Amino acid sequence: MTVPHKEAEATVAVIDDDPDIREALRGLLRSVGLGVELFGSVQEFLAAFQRERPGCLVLDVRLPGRSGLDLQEELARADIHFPVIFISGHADVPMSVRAMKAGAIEFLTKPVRDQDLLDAIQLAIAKDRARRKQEATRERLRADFDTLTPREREVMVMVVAGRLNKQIAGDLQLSEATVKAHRSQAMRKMRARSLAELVRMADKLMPSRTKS
Amino acid sequence: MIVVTSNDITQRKQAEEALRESEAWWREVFEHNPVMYFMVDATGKVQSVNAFGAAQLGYKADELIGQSVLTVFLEEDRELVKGQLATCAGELGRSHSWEIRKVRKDGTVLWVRENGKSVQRSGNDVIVLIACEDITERKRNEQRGAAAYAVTRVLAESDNLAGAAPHILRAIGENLEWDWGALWGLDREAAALRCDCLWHVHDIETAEFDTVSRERTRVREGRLGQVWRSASPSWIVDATTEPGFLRASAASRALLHGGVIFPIILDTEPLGVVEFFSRAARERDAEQLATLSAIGSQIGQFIKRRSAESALRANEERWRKLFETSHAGMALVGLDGVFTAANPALQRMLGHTEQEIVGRNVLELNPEEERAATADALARYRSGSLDERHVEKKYLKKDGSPVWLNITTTLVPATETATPFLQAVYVDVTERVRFEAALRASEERWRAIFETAAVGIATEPLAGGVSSVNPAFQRLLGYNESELQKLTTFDFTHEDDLAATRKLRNGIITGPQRSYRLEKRYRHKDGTIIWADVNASMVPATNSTPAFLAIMVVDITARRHAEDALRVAQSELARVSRLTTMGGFAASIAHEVNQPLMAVVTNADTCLRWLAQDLPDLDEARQAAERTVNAGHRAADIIKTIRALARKSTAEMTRFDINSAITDILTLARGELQRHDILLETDFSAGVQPIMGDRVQLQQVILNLIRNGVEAMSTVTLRRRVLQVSSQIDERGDVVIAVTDTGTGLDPTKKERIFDAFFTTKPEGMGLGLSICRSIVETHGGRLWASPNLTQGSTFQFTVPAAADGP
Repeated sequence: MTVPHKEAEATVAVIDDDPDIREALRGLLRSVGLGVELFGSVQEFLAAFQRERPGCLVLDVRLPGRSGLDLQEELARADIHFPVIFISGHADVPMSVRAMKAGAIEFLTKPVRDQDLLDAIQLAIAKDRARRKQEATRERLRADFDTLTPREREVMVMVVAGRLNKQIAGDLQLSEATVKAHRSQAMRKMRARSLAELVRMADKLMPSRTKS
Repeated sequence: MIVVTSNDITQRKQAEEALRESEAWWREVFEHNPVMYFMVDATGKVQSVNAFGAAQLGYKADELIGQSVLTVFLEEDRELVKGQLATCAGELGRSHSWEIRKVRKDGTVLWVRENGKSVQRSGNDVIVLIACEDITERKRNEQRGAAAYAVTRVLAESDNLAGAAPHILRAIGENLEWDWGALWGLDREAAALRCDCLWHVHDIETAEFDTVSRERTRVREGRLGQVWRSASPSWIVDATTEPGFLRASAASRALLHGGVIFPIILDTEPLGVVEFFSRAARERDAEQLATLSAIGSQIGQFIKRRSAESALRANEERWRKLFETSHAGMALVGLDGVFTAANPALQRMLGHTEQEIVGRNVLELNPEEERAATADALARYRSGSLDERHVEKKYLKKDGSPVWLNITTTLVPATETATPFLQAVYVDVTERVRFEAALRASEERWRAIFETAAVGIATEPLAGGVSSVNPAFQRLLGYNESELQKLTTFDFTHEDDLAATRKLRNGIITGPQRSYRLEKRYRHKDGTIIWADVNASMVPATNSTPAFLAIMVVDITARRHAEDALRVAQSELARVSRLTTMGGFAASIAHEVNQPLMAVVTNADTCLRWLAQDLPDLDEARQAAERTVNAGHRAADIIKTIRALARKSTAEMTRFDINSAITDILTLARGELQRHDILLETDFSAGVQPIMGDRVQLQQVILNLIRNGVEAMSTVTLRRRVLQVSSQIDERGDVVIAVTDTGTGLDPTKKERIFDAFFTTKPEGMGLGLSICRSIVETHGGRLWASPNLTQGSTFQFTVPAAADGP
């Protein structure tokens, strides 16, 4: 089980092809004590990217080679959930909508008000931390779930779906006693203290379950 | 006769005496009677001959008595004589008569009429008594007449002397008892006689004499020559002994003796000589000489007549040939106007056959409008007031096509044998008339062009001055023609163009260049300046015209003004277009300005933050403030570039580095390229020389090409969008700036038109961009063109000459 190390320093990654702007942003973030890494292009950033480090990305929408939006989509496809703050020279509504839909924290227009940017960065970092924490919980549950036998997983899925023991026994052609035994075994392995807790765990494990 | 008898002696004596007397008397009568008496026995022996008879033949009686009577006959007649004697002897008492020639002792011949009768003497001997009278005169008369008649007949039946000659010789020879004859013609070149023709009777052998005669081809001397020169006949009694007869020995061998030579005479001129010879010697016969002289003249007349006739025939033949073969049309026309003859050439000219012309009146063939004049001319010919008429008129051929004829009609006056008539000669001058008409039309056309041309036209002698000017030229300069003819081209050429005009003018006069074109200024009569496009050509001398200069002048004053206005308008348009281009880049430009502004604001904020801390970090604050200043300057630079692009409208030629100009413009375009997700690649050659030109205008061109490239790639989604901007030097040292895209490429069907003004492929475009770009580049002495790339997209590039070396 991996534990999120809260002591890890958050880092703000800045990608902008304009060196003046990169320098200005580094100065600003330093003045509030935030760690900064500067990149001239998306490629440079990807080469140095570390998944474990918490933080956020400050990104110009238009970048040479690959645009900020493309990067955002690419990260999402790679299941990298790194909060992104877009800065743009243009107040381009369709672009900002697309960015926000893709999960951007904020879409700011140059020149950026420093407080707006700093607020957005704080929010992003907090979000990243929360997400990382959530991620850690889910990973623990998945590890626990992985210890269940196939039959126990079957029974657990049916239990959290609200089926009674008797019904489950009928469905699975088992005796009710056997169903009970699997159920208590699953509860123990999942370290669930109540049926309600087991249901919450199942929701976290299978986010889609609630929707279907 | 009285016979007395006596029966006594006395009587007998008396009777004897009387008998003797009678006998003597009879003898006297017998001897001297002017009739020749011969008594011949049956064998032909002469028993008796009277003295007259013997004397007539040149003998004494006793020379003949006892001889055969045949000795006095020509050999060829002797059989005949024998026959006649036999006939007489056979019929006693019956008399027979015949005409025959006798030969004298000296060989000469006489004609006699003989009457023979046989009587029986005692002892039964039969004696033939022959009495003969001399009929030579009569016979010769007859012969001469016969000869003259025969010759006349021969001549009448002959065409020429050569054909007549043998017949003439024979006619004379046979009739006048000559055995051999020759005709000697006159060889005018050699001035001598030549034997043209020989004849002889068949029973003599004269080969040697023939040859000797024939071989004498140049006879001037001898008896022949004498006759020729004297033009009078000559008699030869005996050629073998004749003095001056050159062929005497040959004649002797041919047994030829008597002869005659007479001339062929025309008037007094001898044309030849005729000679005859006979085996018998011939006494001079004056009558025959006269007859032959007459025949000689007759032959001369014949020759003259025949040659006159043949000359006439030849002459007529010549005229007929001329008439038939002449290329000129010819006709004979009566004074009534009716054609009596028309030659083939005229038939061809009029397209009518001979039958369609001859017999018709000239008026019928005349074109309608000419008839009155022709009828009038005919009347004047008839009245004798007109001898000859020249006229040129248009006829219609039978097929209706026109033919122009030049006609000379001449009156041929009446002669003894002919009535007056007209002869007409026709020459087809259709070609000439057509040519003249064409020439006239051409001349009129040129004249009209000259007179009505909007272009001013003048001709100038090489020496200077003005020889002719058209109205347009006069209008152009405000002078009339006579005023201009007192001036030279230099008088109305603008001072500043005098030198150039002189130089070009001299250049085409001395060659090899034969024409020049110059845009120059003239000074109008009122002093205003006229701009003219002048084309001058040297027209070389011809046979009829000395060399001159042809000057063509187009007034381009208005064009010049329009061009000036256009230049202003174009500048303005370029500016508008530039602004339009920049409008397209507005977002990009805003972005570019925004960048430094963002830096300024952020850095200023940062600075404030450091200062606002409980313990202000001045060092950090100063660094942030410095960054603020730098970014502010950068923003100012960008603004400056934009302002330069926006404001300028007039060209400013400066020397500058094209690479830095491109870099500046790329700064403006960068944002636009990013917005369209386009990767910019640049490749600037370090060796590019500074160029001389208008920086802003060339930046405008580059910006335009970049914008075109961006738009060309706007629909490209499946491949990378790359815009390459490069500079390099070509082989001529010119700078080449290329903008390459990976867009949709050029539509080949529109490739040529993209540089046209107002041509556009974009719905919102004005279509001025590339047109203005090209004119800007060309103003700089360069070229702008587009070409498709090998793989995709297209390349627009332009050249600008490198500036000459300088500071």
